[in-house]
Amino acid sequence: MKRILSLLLAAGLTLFFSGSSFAEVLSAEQIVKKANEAYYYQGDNGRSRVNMKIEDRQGNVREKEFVILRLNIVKGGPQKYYVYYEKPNDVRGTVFMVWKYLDKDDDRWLYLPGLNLVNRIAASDKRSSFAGSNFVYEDISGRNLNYDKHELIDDKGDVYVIKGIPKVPSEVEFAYYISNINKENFIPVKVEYYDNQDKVIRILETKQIIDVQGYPTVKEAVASDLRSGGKTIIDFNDVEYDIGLDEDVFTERYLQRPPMKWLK
Amino acid sequence: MVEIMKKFFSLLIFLSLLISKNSFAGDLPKLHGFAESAFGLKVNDDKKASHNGYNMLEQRINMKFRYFPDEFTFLEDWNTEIYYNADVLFDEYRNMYNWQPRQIYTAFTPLDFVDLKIGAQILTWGTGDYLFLNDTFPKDYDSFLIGRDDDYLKLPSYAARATFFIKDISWDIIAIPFFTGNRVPEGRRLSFYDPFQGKISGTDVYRKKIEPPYQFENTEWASRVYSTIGSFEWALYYSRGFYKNPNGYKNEAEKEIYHPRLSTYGASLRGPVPWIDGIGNLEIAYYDSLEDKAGKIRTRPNSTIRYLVGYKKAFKDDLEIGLQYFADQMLYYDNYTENLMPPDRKEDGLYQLLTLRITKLFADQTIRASFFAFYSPTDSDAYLRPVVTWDATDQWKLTLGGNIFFGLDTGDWGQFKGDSNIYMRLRYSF
Repeated sequence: MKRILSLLLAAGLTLFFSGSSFAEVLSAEQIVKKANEAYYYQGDNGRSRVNMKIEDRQGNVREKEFVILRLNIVKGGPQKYYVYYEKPNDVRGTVFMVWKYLDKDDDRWLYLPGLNLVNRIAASDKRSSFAGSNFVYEDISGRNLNYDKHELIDDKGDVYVIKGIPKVPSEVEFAYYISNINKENFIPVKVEYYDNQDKVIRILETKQIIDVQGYPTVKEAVASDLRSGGKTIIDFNDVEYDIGLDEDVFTERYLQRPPMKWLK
Repeated sequence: MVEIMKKFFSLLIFLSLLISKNSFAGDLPKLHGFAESAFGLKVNDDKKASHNGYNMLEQRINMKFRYFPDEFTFLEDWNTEIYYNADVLFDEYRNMYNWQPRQIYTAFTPLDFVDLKIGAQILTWGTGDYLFLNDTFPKDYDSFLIGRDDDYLKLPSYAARATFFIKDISWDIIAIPFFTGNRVPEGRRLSFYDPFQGKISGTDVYRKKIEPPYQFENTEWASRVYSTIGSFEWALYYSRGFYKNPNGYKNEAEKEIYHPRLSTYGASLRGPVPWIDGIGNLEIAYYDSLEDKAGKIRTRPNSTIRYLVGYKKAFKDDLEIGLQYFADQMLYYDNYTENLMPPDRKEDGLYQLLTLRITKLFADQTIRASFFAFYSPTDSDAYLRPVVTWDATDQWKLTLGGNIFFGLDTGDWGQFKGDSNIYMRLRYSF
């Protein structure tokens, strides 16, 4: 009963807000905020089985598979991630855990099952590759909106076109990026990263969006590195939202004892 | 005898798993593991061990499966886990093969706030990188020194572990009824400084090692209370059992060495370092040598305090650097020096050690280059561990590395000069 009530309440709120948004013209900041929430904060918590195909210029393919559990501490704010590796086989059972913050470095842990070792790892450069793929850390867990200046440069058809300019250019490998954000669900469908010569160096594309429990959800995305010639296809499977994760799951206890009911 | 009991114990758990598995329907868990071939070539051979030229030549087949039974609701509710992980090692250096359990256990959560894990398990805690203060669990230094995979630095303990979760505090209690000591160089594979002979020795070593017999009062205990405050992890530790190295002498004339009784007490803190970023750690441990409380008996270890300060930081382009300072301070040094007898070698009262780790990833993180160095100003010796690992494909992994020792014959690392090697390992994972 309580559940139905909150659902009704949520539906009512959604109507209320979407009703009001027709009237207003969204600013660039509002659009990127909505996009950030649509891409990284869907539901209060959730899980997904991720299959990654990393292809280099020569066509060599490597595959990774992991289950991600995610919990929003605050929507648009801090989050906790639990990443359980299933492939490749030599890292099966390894767990990567992140407590993400907006105002300071993330806390990260790596659990190595062979040594039963819970190791703290130094937060690395957020622009470095995630798991050897063409996605960088910030593609996976989101980039702090305050790191960039956002301009709405075009409002064509079904997408907003936003230009993001880093406030500290020395911290990133690009000069600026252009995002195409779907007006209806606010999911970025294409993001192009440019260098100083206005040449595209990296592209992120959303290939397929599906509906899961009423949430528009990315099913397939591709990252292409135009300089190295490599690309990574990421496929999200068995996505479920609001599965009842709480902060307990994101502790040393569950690094050593994988919570199978959510990982299956 | 204890060895046989341990294996029997593992086998029993394994068989009970198989039987329980076969009596229910359902999918068998997938079998995973690897096959590995390893070869270590000596580069400064002192020709004292049983073979000249090499100190590792072996094939290993590792098999593991992890199974979460759900035939009964309670098994699923308890998040029951059954894990089998063991090797068959064909050791051509020792010209033998055997079955070596790594982790064979069952784990479950009978109550919301209690986890239990029973069986052969790898136990690890503490904050050091290759340095251990409060982690008094068994280690295989032979494996470490010849360049086996890092996983083999740890030996399984045959133990029961309970962890209690009370609000934000976690509390581990571990009982280890079957003693497992550290595997340390004994001369046949690795030569070392033999204090009985006063020189580096190999196959000519004669010592009689006595392990604590299997008796109820010889059960070892270990406990840890730990939690996280903000981004900082703290822990308090206790253990009661035996020194894992055979560093006591029972009957010197008979060259009997054994594991004296030991209690340890300690604490650690780990978290981000303000201002300079990166992760810092502090750890301290008091080693209470129970059979030599006053430090007056020359055939028993002196009580000591161990200190560790560590720091690591990640840089751009997958580069990480870590530094550690470690010290081990004898508490009754005057008593120790007063009671020495010739030809005992007088050790420093404060042993100091510095370590450096540099790790860098290349080629989409498929090549991992790591350099680890131990340097002791006390012993004026060093141990360098360069390693390059190449994930050629998702299945094939090639590892090249070295174990290079420098320093005096009597130094902790210097004594292994003649064991220095370069090695290669080729692994296929499935």
